[in-house]
Amino acid sequence: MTTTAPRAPDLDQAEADQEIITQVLAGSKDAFGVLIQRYSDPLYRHALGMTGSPDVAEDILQASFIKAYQHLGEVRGRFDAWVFRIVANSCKDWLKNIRRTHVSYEEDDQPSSFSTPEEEMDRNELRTDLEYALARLPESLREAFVMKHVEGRSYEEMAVLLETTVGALKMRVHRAREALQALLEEKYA
Amino acid sequence: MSDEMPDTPAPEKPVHRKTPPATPAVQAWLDGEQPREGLATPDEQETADLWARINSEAETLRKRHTPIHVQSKILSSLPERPAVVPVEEPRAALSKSVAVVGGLIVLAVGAAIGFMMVR
Repeated sequence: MTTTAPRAPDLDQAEADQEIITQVLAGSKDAFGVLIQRYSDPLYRHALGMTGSPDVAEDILQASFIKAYQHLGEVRGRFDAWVFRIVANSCKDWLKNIRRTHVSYEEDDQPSSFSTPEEEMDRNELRTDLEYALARLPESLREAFVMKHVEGRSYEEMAVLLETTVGALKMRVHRAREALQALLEEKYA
Repeated sequence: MSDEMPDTPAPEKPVHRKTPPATPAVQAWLDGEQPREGLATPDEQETADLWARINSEAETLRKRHTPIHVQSKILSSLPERPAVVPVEEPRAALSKSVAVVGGLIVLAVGAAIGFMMVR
């Protein structure tokens, strides 16, 4: 397989988003629900992958959408990229605060509060270890790995969302893989 | 006690062998740039096996959805109206070069008028 050319933004989607934004700014609060429905899943997965905690991911998602709503008049360009950056920055802020307050990830933020007991039981050992190993990666490596492997995004899409180059992102993902492999191989190799 | 070395070396303590690091070929496979068949060595295949398991778990995480109550919770927490940003009127800006050229033109016109009046 060869490297694909940078993917053009989905213009239809961007135009549809812009139309909804116009409606919301004109006073239709309910129209914002369409944007929440459209983008909450990928944003939730990003927050969950970055924080490892469903509760924290929910809080970040809620705060980010409220912030997006309050500043909707400031959107320039694609809404999905703009709201993604709000969520991504909130995740990074949360990680910084966790470090500053010296709260142990293992004690406080392990995904111990999944919504149903079935969901909790469904998690197998490797998944738990993967989440634990992810939590030990530096922010930028974790972000790149989560976007590539958990969210399944292309490097081109990641480059648009993170406003960086494909080459830099490949480097981060490759380093993240090396680090994760080192953390997991003792048990799984 | 004798300092004599034993005739046969003691058997080496078994060492847990770690997975070989991901080679460029493995990274290319993980990036979707080449098929797994392109991984030539047993080491690469071993690393690929580990990554196949990790990827399988990562894909499980990819199937997660926002809990149903969250979307309605967000909608109900929204303020009545979003902040409306006033549209700024474009301000006329005078660049340095335009100011200098303008000044020179005024000076030249003034000098020309003065010269004509003196004559």
